[in-house]
Amino acid sequence: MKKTLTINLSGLVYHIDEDAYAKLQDYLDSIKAYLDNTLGRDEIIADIENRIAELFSSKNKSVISIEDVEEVIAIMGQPEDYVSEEDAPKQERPHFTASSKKRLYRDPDNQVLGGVCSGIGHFTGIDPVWVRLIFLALLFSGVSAIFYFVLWIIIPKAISISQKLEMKGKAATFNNIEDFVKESYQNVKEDLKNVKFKGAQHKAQEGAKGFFAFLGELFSALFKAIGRLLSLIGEIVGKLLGVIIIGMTLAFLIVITVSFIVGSFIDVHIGNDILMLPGFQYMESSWGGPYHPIFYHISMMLTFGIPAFSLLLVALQLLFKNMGRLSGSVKIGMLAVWMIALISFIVMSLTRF
Amino acid sequence: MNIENTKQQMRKGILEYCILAVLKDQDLYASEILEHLKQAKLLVVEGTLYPLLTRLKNADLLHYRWEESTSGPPRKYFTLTEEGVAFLEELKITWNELQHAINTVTNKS
Repeated sequence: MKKTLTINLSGLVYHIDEDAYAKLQDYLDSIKAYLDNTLGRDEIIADIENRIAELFSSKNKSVISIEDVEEVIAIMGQPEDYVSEEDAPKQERPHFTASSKKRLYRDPDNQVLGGVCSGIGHFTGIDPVWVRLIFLALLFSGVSAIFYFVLWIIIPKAISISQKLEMKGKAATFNNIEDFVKESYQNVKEDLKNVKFKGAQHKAQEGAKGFFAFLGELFSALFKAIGRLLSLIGEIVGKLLGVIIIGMTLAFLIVITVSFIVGSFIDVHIGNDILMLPGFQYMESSWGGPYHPIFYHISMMLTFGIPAFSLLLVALQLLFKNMGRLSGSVKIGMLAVWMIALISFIVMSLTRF
Repeated sequence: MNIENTKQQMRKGILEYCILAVLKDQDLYASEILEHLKQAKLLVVEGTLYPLLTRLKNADLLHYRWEESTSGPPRKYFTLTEEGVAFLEELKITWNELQHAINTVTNKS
């Protein structure tokens, strides 16, 4: 049994197996990447899709399978074949490989609780056992429980085959990050080269008459290059920011959790007894309010913890694009809890002394 | 040197001429053009054709119209423009000259 998807190719509807869809999508994406500098790229892609639709129609099958897609790719040719001599890029382009993108998912096939650790293992290329051990080791500070809970909520589960392929794709190691940066830089460089090349061509052909057309072309290519560069910088800054925020909020959450545990323990269990010990005599009694101290500590924890928790979610969403969002009712609930905690924290802080 | 590569380069060079030539007498859509070129074993894979068609169209040598089809997606029928006809005539002369030149050279050796 296989799951099928419905796709629209050139205005016609086809049912296609999920693995076949992933393959076709990869194929079209890599053609797009190859034709990146070709004039009229979208039109060429539309023509190709049209032809693929025609080939599918000629099969008269109710569902397109992966064999059909492979057959079509054999007829149409590899992405390299689409590049005609004149606009062929000089440098080697990455070869067409299936599912080179990689995304963070929870792995339902290898889970202890929610599959978070094995998902992280797939993403980083680290054995999930080590990831689990790290989480276990951090459990004593209390923070890995919160962090695990957060990740469980927002990392989507890899359900479909294409998602599982994405989950297991190339590991996001430093080498790959380097490749990504290099590739983006190469794209920018190519755009700039195009500016010069097209400029010279235009001048020779049309002289002063086509000057404005040339100017337009120059600017559009220049803006394309600038846009690419900015999006590359934006991506890197966004990721860095995400890592920094995660680090900070995690540290903050550790501090609040520890202070909650220690603070409540002192107030509830030892209370003023500790003040009798030598060295503590000069300290004042810490609790004087009419409420049980545990309420004070809970409200304090929530007042600081909920914003930190939300910040953690935002940072994770910044870092991984496919992260899920909290539903509106959960957000409102969290906001309400936070308001109550904040008000009680203020009231209790004012009345405790 | 890779023989397949050289063969492909030779084919690509004359492909534009052939596309214009098959469109000379009749309007065709991509698959029919493909049929002609495949029969003549000029094309190995179909993908090569589409960027070429778009380039010829952008150079105003071809224009196209859409026609509905009962058996599949709508078809893009290509026609030669006046410029295209003139272009084809010029290529034909060049081709004949080349053919003559090549025959002379290869027969000598």
